[in-house]
Amino acid sequence: MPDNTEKRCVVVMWSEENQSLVSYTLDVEKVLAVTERLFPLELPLADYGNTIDDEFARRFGSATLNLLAITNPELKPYLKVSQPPGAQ
Amino acid sequence: MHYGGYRYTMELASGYRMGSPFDPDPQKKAAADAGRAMLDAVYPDVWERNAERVKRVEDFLVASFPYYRKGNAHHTLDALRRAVRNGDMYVVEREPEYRGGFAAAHSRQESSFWGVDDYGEAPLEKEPWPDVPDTSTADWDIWHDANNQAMMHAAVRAAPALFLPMCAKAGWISRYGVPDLSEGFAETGSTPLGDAQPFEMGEHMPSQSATDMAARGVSEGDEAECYLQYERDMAECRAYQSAMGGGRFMELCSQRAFMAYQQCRGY
Repeated sequence: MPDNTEKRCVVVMWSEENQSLVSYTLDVEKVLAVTERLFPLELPLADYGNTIDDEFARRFGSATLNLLAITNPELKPYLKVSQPPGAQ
Repeated sequence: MHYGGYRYTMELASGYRMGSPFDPDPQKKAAADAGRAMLDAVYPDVWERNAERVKRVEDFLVASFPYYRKGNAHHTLDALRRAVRNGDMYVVEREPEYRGGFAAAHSRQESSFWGVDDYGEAPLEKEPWPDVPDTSTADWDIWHDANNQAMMHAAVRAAPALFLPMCAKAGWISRYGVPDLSEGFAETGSTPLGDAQPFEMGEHMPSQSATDMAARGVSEGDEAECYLQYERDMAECRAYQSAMGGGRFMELCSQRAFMAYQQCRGY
């Protein structure tokens, strides 16, 4: 049984070589040390009805891909996600 | 060129016909003053990296001044600033087409810095994501206009050379106007550039902000780096916003980006 008590977080990368989205999990402790001075994009769940529903998941995925596409322009042609009108 | 929602052109003093120095055409003088203020406020080193813009300035200088000798980008923009300071030429602010209002008389001898006359195609102004009508963003904008204006005007008054380019890039100058930078001015609300006399950037401004920067322990290069970081952060905010919507998220995100910018600059 692997030790699943250590909290981990997810890092998503675009691999140009494999034309793949690659995710890793990392120890939160280690990540916090690096992100301390970085710019956070924070989504308080209270602003979204305290619910992670289909719509939230869809938008969150889309937001993450948009973010990734800023510095990975090769990803842009693949992005066919429609953006929600009047999103809130 | 397009900068902060305005279009600027380069004009030879002889071609611009501003009138006598004692009785200049007020509209033409205002447009030239605004252009000069813009020029004083931009980051030279950021501009120098824009090869296309430097080339346009160089072409204009070569065509206009027979004694001009070509040099590197720094030299070119320095020559532009000197020529404007000496009154040999003007950088003239043109009213953006979509806003109406006064339009300075068109001179025959004009050349656009960018060579891009479609505002929508100006670099850095457009994100790759589709524009989606977003009512929540509009609501947020209205809600925070007053706050933003107060914050922006305070910031611009504290360090005009540093904040003007940033606010211009964020589109805040066309939205909120600029504060009067003369001393003892009591703020009376918005002064949109479109119908107000543009501010004067006095000769003392650059050295003042340089002293200020020295006191905070940041160099001009650091300032430019902070500004680039701010732009990166805001691009991330917008990338998120296009999927998550505006509202509270965008509010917090831009505030956070602005605070990070201030912190970076030693405030």
